[in-house]
Amino acid sequence: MKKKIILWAVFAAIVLFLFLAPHQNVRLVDIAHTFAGPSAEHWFGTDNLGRDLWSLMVVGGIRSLGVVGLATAISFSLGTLLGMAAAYEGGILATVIQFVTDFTMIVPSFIVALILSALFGFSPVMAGLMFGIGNMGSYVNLSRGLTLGMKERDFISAEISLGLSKPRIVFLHIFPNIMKQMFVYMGNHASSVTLQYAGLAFIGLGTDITNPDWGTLLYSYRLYMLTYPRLVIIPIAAVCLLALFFHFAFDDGSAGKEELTIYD
Amino acid sequence: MNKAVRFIIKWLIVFFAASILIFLLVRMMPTTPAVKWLDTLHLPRTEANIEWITHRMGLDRPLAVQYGIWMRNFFRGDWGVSLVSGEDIRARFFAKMPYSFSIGISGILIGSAAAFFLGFRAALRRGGICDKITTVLTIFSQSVPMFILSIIIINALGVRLRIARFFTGDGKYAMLAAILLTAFYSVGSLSRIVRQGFREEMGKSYVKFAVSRGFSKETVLFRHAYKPVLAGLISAVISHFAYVFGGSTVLEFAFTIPGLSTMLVSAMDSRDYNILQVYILVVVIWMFFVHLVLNLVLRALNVRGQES
Amino acid sequence: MKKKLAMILAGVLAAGMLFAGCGRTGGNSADEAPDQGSAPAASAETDSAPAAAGTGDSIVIGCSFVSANTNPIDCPWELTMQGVSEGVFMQNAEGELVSRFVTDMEREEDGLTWNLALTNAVKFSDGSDCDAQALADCMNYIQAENAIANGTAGVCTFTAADADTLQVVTERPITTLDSLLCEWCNVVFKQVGDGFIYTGPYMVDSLDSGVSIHLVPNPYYDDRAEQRSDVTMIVFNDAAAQQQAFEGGEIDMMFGLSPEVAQILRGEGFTVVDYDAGYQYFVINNIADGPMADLAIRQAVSQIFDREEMITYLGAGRVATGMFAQYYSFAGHVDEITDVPAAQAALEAAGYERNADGMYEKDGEPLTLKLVTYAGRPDLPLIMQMASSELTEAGVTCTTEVVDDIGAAISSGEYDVIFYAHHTAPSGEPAAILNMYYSDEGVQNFYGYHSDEITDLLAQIGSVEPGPERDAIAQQIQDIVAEDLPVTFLIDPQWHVALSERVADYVPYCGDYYIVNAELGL
Repeated sequence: MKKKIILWAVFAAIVLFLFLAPHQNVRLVDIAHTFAGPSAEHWFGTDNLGRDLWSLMVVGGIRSLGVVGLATAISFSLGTLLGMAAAYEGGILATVIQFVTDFTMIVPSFIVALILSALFGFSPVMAGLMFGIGNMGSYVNLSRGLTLGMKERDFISAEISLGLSKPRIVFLHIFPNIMKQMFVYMGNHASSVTLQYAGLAFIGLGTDITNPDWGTLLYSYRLYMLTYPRLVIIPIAAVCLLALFFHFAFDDGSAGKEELTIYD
Repeated sequence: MNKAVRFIIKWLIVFFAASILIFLLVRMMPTTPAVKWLDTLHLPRTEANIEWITHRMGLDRPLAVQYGIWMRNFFRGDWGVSLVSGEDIRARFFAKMPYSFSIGISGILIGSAAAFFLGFRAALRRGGICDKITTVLTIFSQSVPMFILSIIIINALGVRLRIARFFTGDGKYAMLAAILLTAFYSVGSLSRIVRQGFREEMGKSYVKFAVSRGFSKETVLFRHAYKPVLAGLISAVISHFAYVFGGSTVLEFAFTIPGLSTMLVSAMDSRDYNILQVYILVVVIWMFFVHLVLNLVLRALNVRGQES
Repeated sequence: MKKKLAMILAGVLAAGMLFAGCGRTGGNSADEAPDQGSAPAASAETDSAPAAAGTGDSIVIGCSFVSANTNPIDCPWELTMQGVSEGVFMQNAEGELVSRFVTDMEREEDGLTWNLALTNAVKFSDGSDCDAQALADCMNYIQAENAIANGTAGVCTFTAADADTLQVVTERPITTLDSLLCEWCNVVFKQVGDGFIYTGPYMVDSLDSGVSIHLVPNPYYDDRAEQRSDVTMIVFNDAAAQQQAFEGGEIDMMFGLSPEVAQILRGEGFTVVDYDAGYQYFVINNIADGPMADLAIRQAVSQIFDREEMITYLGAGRVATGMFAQYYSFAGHVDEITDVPAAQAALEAAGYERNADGMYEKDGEPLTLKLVTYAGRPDLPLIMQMASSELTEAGVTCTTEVVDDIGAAISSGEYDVIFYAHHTAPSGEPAAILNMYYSDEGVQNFYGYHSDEITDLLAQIGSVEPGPERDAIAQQIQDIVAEDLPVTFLIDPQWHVALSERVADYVPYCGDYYIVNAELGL
């Protein structure tokens, strides 16, 4: 448990640092010093326009974390809620929810992205919303399956027969019990949004080099990666750290122990 | 029987809902195909020009008529023609589908087969080498973009060693690379699912009993516990099959494979309503068959799976 | 068990590849079906040569699009770009209009009838003569089928007066016929069965719509046909893939290089050539609304833009002198200068003051400009980034955005400064574009620009023949624009093309209008 607190503390410190860290204005170009190596002035060196890569990583990090955070929050909360509702209520509601879930899973997210951005313009917030809803399906299915399992447990059926209110049973008794597994799933999938977002650049969305995030940086620097590998290694390292954090922060330590079988 | 009828009715509703939705959505986009067409050719957007193009594209008819014609022809097997090039859309789809489908289907099948073995090994020894590999693969596939890895592959094999031609010739190297990359990127998360499944089964009494009778745990798990795990894997793979359409986008671009995604993006670029509409319907039909087949497989495995 | 699995895996992989293989051949046969209208010279050699590019001694070109079919109404622009079709008139590298068909043209006194003297030296790719009758037939067909061909002079009627003369009657009087016949839609063709044949240096052998096209030399183009090689054009949707293909020796020519990639390739010892694009990079100012409605601010912003810095970064090009590329006789003589102190003085005179951060503000409101561009022309986001850097350093706050749909962004009116690229003389004359941007009802005059002087000058330019007088009027208009600044001229760019050794001497011109010209590979 201690480990986890340290992990969270480090993460919080990094996020705080991203907002407070001194960084240069990423709007400023310096065409006399393009592709400069790391130095005291530019910790990570400069990019093709002579912009400070460290500052770009900081500014882009805020944007990337925003997209990841928004998307994950939406998929997690909406997905869990709908899954529980479908499993608990059953009937027509369950059918409708299953229907919507299937639909979000069927239609590839990139065509949704293309159409939505043609309609409303493209922005990180919209990307967050879209991935949030697009990735919601697996959360719904998982939470539905877990809730169905819970419903068969004795204490829940006892509560139902006692006549406790539905929201109370669902939120106070079912949710805490399925929460752990939901979080593990979330931890394993949250950071993939960063790369999904980067992939949109291929279809022409989120290619705005003037307002970068980690995905955009990766996309635009891929042209120079063989000459200046630093430019892609640094963003990849950042995304990797994020993935590692999510993976371990939400990895269920106690479940690991329960999970121990007689053979371990 | 009742179930089968409900399944079909459900998909019919999905089909029509999707068709109406996409029909209206494409027409709500602010820039029309006529304007896009003029822009591509650097032509002035005068009213006369726009009117002429719109008429030529058949988009000046009432919406209900356009929808009716589209649906009627679709069921007759006539999927219409591209607004821009006038090509037959069905022929074009059938020419493009093999690329996206073989990348998606072979990639996912290879990925899941590998994931099944890796997950099995990982479950046997907690914290063992295979267990670690699954974690590393999962993290890797979430932090190194496919497009970066593909550039490295092309550069190594095509530019430095010059043993493969990815862009000219019959394109077999590009397809091979795309299939293997798809498999590689799906192994990580799928193997975690398999591992989880096996570990759950390991705790069950029938496994414990068999092991106590002297069978090796490997044999017990592999011979007797595989069914529920396989069912779990298949349920997870269902959602990956939507990927056949969307997921190969990056690979199609990185290896210039002329698949469905490339076509769709250029159709979107020119606002080719007809192609966009048909695309969504094809996706729905494809998912219908995927669900149908996988439900049948799950039934054959005789476990209570997630029948949707 | 493991062996079995390995077998199954191998099987799946093999099936996948086989499936894909079917797709490729299937695609070709679909495209070659005659009802697609895409079997041009559907002679014997089509069966034997599938779109297997890069094999043999074909010159392979990486580009961003190829024609979808070989129909002269659908794809005339692409067919000409590929060296398959020809306009009656075309631009040469100096921006002059030249013709292989016409030696001389004369207007009769009614102002509507033109007599064109023909060379009668051109043959179609099947060897038949492109005589006066053939020319008249195809031009009339285009006039009937393509309404855009009627845009400049109304419906024109072509008749073969005699073997050496083509007579053209226009509906509205025009001052010159050559630029009309240079318009992209007027390509010379002949219908043979369901297919079409053309007169350009190459003919279509096979094509996979939007993916690739294979061209073979037209034996009847000139006496150098035998020296030409086959040409394959492949569409690349990803710049990185194209770069790898070029470095790996799979393609001989690569268009659309970004300045950085051009520099990297030069560093690796490859041949990279800069050539005049014909396109112009400029800024459209939102004069209807917001800060740019103020002429003083427009002037200051124009003085803050450091065009030399932009060119240094782009690696080639010149400071724009007006609306047109400098090789045209009607190019402007505007002298754009960078003078930040003068700009700042002007802002202060207009009532702006510097706040604590050094940014200009008026009544507590910072002077904020919304910059926007699109990624379709990859140089533009770079230019916008540099412009925003220059503005920020000079004390002007700005926001930037790269949008997918620039047309929608312009008509929304939400942006102040729009970075734009346009080929401003596609038919070798200035009046069309000047009307588009600066006349009251011009379709590119988005923000209601009006100038009495320009209105008069535009009326004049419509009635003078090409020559020094017309050029002077065009230059006068550009001078007024440089004062009123509905549009701020930026850069007369050059583009980069990477060439393999075998085509190292090739020089494309006029942007992406004639990617394949008759000199390729000679």
